[in-house]
Amino acid sequence: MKTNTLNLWFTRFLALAAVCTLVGCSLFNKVVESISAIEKAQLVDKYEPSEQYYLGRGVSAVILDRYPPIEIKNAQTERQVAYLNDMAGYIERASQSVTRSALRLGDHTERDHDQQQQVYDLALYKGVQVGILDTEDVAAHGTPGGFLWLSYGAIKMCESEDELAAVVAHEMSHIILDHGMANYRIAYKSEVRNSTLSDTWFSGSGAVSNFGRLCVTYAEDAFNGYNPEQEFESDNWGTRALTASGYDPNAMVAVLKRVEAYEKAHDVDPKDYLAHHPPITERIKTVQELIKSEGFKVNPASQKPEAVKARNDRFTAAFK
Amino acid sequence: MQWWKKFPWQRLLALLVVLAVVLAVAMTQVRGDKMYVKVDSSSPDAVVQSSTDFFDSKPVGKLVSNQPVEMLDETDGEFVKIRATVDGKEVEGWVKKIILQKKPLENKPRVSESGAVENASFAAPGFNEELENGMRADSPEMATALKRIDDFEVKRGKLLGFDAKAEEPDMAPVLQRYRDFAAAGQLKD
Repeated sequence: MKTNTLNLWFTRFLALAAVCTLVGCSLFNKVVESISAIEKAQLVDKYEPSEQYYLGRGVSAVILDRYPPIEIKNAQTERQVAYLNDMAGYIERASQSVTRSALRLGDHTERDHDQQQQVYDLALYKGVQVGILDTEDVAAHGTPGGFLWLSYGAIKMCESEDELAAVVAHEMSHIILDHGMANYRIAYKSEVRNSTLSDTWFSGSGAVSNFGRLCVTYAEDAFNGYNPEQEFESDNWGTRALTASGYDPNAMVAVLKRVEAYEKAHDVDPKDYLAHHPPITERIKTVQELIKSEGFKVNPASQKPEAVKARNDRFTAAFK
Repeated sequence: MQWWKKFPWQRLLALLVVLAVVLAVAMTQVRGDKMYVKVDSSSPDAVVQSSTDFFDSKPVGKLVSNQPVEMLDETDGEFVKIRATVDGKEVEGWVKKIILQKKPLENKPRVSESGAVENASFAAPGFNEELENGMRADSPEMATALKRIDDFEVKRGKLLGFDAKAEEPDMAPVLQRYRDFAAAGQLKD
């Protein structure tokens, strides 16, 4: 009797061990699969600065196919390109400590912990590079990897260096805050849209064609502008960067008012770049409130009449 | 017998010594952590600075992509102090924290040609010069457009005072341009 009971318990134990092993193996496999999926996702989500730079070159190539850049061929165009690059390089350097936290930038956009970390860690492979598009259309495009393309139309809309700095700071923020890549991760992870241009440029298969189609898709999306939440966030970062660089933060309001006037005067086409931005009156109000609530002060030294004149003289010499 | 006479003091002492050694080794590790440069040598951020004050700092050396640097135990805002070998000499100075990463750069395509993850957009990681050259060969339109970017980068470099085609251009003059720009515009506090 005693032996039978022992045998019974031993059999039960073996059965339980077998069940546990099966369940354990299954669970183990699932855990391994999950870890592998996570690692794979991280692999494809994490871009090194050099990768962002080469993607930016590809996207810029498509932008320059639509809007040819100015030819740097004489003293005036040289002055313009050097001036813009000095300004952008200085703003980027001076705004090093400006927050990149979505929460502190007005909580307009949502970034999970990993996405936020990517923004904190974002470094530009070769710094900011600013080029000029030879068109009177108001257009500005920041690409991954630090390329910033401003149209003559956008530059000439500004009436002072501080206003131009506001445009540069706003556009730079789209790069620094990883807006383009964030949109790409959400929208294009599963497929790259076929378009006439991508089909014309790349008809084959394989990694090279895939990269090519990706660049074209990305650029075509960039022509439509960023989403409203990202525009609000960029206004916020741009205003902080202006202040950190010694420019007048109110220049952001001034330039938004010029955009408002431009929209009214030109009856902006819904397919146009500016049509995808949020209502301009809302943006103006939000920036005004930000300046007030954060107590951003105008740098007294940089706002002395002789200082303003010095900046506007070089702005006029370059573009007016 | 009192309990302290029975207590294994020698073992406790040995344990403490081991702990102290482990702690000392760990602290040395933290101080001397190795990190890798993730930006190109043509980035102004690759210049090692004597201080974290943009206007008062002097260049003490330049870093190249993927170069290992030793972390020193000092930070200041967005900057960290490092030790690195530059042109055969050891230098110490400040760089932006974000230009460093723990692992060396992979710098190679991370998916197979057929698309191991089975769609085109996943192919983005691994984007490099080799793939860009492939795009040039595949598409004359892309080749023409990329040539414009090449020309732009070279001319821009020349305007700012560095050779964009050089393997290790000196970017210190570019940082000086930024300082001069700010000073001429009276933007400095």
